[in-house]
Amino acid sequence: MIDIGYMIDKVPVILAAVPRTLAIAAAAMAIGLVCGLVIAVIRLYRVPLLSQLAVVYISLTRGIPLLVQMYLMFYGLPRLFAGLNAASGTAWLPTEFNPYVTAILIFSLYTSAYQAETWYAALNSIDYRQMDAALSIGMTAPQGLARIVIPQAVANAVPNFGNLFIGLVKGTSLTFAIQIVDIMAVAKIQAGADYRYIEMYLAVSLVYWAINALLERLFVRIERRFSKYKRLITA
Amino acid sequence: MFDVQAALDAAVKLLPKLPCTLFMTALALAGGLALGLILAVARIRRVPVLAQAVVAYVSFMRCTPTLVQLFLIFYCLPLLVKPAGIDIEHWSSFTYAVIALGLHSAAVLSEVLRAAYLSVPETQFEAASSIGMTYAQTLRRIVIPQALRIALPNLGNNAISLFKETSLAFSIGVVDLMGQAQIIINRNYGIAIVEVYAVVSLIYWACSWLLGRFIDHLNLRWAAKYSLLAGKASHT
Repeated sequence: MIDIGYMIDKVPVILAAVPRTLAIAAAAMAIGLVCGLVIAVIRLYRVPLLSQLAVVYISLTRGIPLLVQMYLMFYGLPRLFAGLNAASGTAWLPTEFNPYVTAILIFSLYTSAYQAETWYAALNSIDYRQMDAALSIGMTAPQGLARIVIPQAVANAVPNFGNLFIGLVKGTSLTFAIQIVDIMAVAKIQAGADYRYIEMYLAVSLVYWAINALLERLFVRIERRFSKYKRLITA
Repeated sequence: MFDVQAALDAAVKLLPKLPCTLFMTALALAGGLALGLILAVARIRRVPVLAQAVVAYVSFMRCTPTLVQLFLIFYCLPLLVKPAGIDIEHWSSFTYAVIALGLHSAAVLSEVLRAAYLSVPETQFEAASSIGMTYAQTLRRIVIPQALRIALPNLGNNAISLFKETSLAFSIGVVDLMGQAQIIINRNYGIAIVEVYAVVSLIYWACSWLLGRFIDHLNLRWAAKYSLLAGKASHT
């Protein structure tokens, strides 16, 4: 019924697309970590206007399916930029995008909202009196954040970051919608060519499972490393 | 730049498909809760073999994209049950989508329910069995009411993500909100693409927001009710 030999034969074809998938996810994750932190700090200090904008942005991003966001950005951005170019009578904004750039942009925007929530919760979980203590010995607020609050917040946030990264890797399975040939698209093309949908999708799911199970393990390790300071205090 | 008339036209055609999306979410959620509860109990009671199988199942479901799961169910399930003499190839893609999303959310929800169950103190089981309740009675009367309240915020978040994930069902041919959007775009030869997706986004966002508010409201009400009961208990 299911041709195991065919599945094994085609695994290298799928694996060839893995670096692409992981690169998009990793780039978006890195951008999202920084943007998320900035947004979380903006919300924490209740910066007028910016923090309200952040709330709206997070609500929109978390309320709309990723696939819909992808379509909206993929088709909407070139049109928006063309319109802005026409309005200003210049050609400063690009109206044609490399699909990889678009993908990283979309995933960064998407994950930043979730990272911001994670950072916000993590920063809030640190006793605010630690910041008072940092200020009282002459640190500036950014120093207090960078040296005292953020290192502890990171330790609390690592499991959530891990889940978000795994979510991103899974999310890349949608990039076929914006014409990127990722794991999923490779499988679809191959499955269509050989008319072997079941074998291909089974192989793909096993590849995803392996990648994400490994990532899960990796994040457990990272978490242990970051929570070292907790052990020191209790010891 | 943005054609408001086209957006309004799209909205008129899209909104009748919202019930389909909501119905799909509700069915998958109900199925997921029921199956998730069974999976959670199997793991909690450490049923041999079954408990290990549940761990593997949950890991698989959490580590593979929902889109892949949809395709797997859509293509593999009919073949799997065929040797047993059951023909399900004529089932609608809506049915397959509900099965796939239900199986997916069962895995996620079983973890939520397990955590909530474990948060109910062990001593309550002892108290219940000391007054002669069976395990099933203890679950139904003592543990589940408390565990549900603890699990509610997580359940709510998962319900919202499930609602968003139904947007993938069009890929196996379900004409829900997203499927209708594809149809409109194909009919327009891709002219009002941005307008259609903007309307789709707005509808999804409004529903997610409402769902979120509803869960917050429920959460507050349950918390208030519980604290009232706790207050009465401490007085007597």
